[in-house]
Amino acid sequence: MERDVQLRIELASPVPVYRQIVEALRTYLVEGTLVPGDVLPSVRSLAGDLGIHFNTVAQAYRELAEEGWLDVSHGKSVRVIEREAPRENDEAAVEQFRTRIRRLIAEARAQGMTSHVVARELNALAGGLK
Amino acid sequence: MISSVAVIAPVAAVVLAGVALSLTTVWMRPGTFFGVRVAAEYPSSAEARETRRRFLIAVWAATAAAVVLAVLAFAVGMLALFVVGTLVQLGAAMLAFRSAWRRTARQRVEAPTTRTATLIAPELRVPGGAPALLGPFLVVGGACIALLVKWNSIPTRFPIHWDIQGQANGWSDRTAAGVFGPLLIAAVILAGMCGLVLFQKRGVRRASAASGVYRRNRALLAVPVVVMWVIASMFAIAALTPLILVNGRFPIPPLVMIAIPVAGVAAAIWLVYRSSSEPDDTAPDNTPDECWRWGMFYHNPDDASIMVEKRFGVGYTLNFARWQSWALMGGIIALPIAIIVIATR
Repeated sequence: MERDVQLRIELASPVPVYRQIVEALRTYLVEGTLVPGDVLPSVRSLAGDLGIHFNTVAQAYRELAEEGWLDVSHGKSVRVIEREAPRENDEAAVEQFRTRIRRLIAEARAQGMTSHVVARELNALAGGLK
Repeated sequence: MISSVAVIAPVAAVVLAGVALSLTTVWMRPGTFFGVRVAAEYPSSAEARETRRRFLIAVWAATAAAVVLAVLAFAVGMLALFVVGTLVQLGAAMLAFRSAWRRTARQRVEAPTTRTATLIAPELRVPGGAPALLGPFLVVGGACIALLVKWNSIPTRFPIHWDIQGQANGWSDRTAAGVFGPLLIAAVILAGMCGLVLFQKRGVRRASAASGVYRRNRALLAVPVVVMWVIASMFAIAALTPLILVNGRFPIPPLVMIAIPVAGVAAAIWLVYRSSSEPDDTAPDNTPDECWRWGMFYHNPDDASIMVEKRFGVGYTLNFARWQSWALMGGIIALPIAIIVIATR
């Protein structure tokens, strides 16, 4: 059964396009929608499909390659690779995430969501990601 | 006295070109009109209908002029007039298109800011696979082997061209160039077309196998494959002429010889039509409007793509800001010129 995996970006968003690509791909990689061996579009092809500059796509791919998700060796296709598991419970990383999640929760509460709804959503999302 | 048969072919070619140019008004990429990104409802507006009408009038006026020049060319025996006629037809159509593009430019709308792309897509396969691509080479190779095996049966001098009454009016000798020349030319053309198929295969938009864009890409990929088979068949028959002559006459009826390329062209037109009827169901056109010069030539230095989908007509066009596009264009133009120069030396 063929998988239909789409990347969606919003040019009008305040989030830079390269960051949108990184975050969307990382989500797919973490939740297992993209698996080792998958071949992603070349920089040229993805930039053409999205109508954006190829350096933007190249920057996003480079960042994911540095994180160990992609092999972007020159002249080869962009391939998802087996990633070495990062160290568990790195305190600095946990602290960084805590700060970001606090901001997100504050934003959600400011928009009227109850703490119960926020907790339910966080639980559901965390459970959905491997 | 003009031979009616001799003049029918160029006139038919000019009229067919007029039909093809007219189809520009039908085969426009959804959301665009004469190369301009417009609102979905604009093409059915009164202004758009008027733009389309003006374009068609210009195209058919130029086609009529080209027909007159084609008839005149054969009446006075000046082939240059026919060439001038086709250039007039093409030039007028381009100017009419440019005029329509400028008229439509006032209705330009911004590109959508939400963009999507297919991440996982099956590899686009050539219809028929490797056998479809290698087959034409085998046809040419088979003819080559047959000529080698039957070398002693080849007359030292044999006819290679006949007039409409079937009288030989062109001859060749039993030399390597005279016997294998057509096959060598065919092999070069086939190699060039094979490269073109692989280039096209890599350059098209990725799409899931269930999408209309995928089916469209496959139909478009089949067009050069069909052309390759027609070229291989025609050249193989031409090369085998000295072995199949019956009393110095070509045994295959002219109608059959005409039917082969006509069938090939019909198959290609059907494939193009089929591809054009597939829905554009993946990402829409995200190319910037300002990069479409005259609404027809794509020039975008910020786009790494070499091939982009056309805004009118069917298939893909080149990004003329990339050197690879110019190299490809140069190759496509240089190949037939080189073959003509070599063949006429």
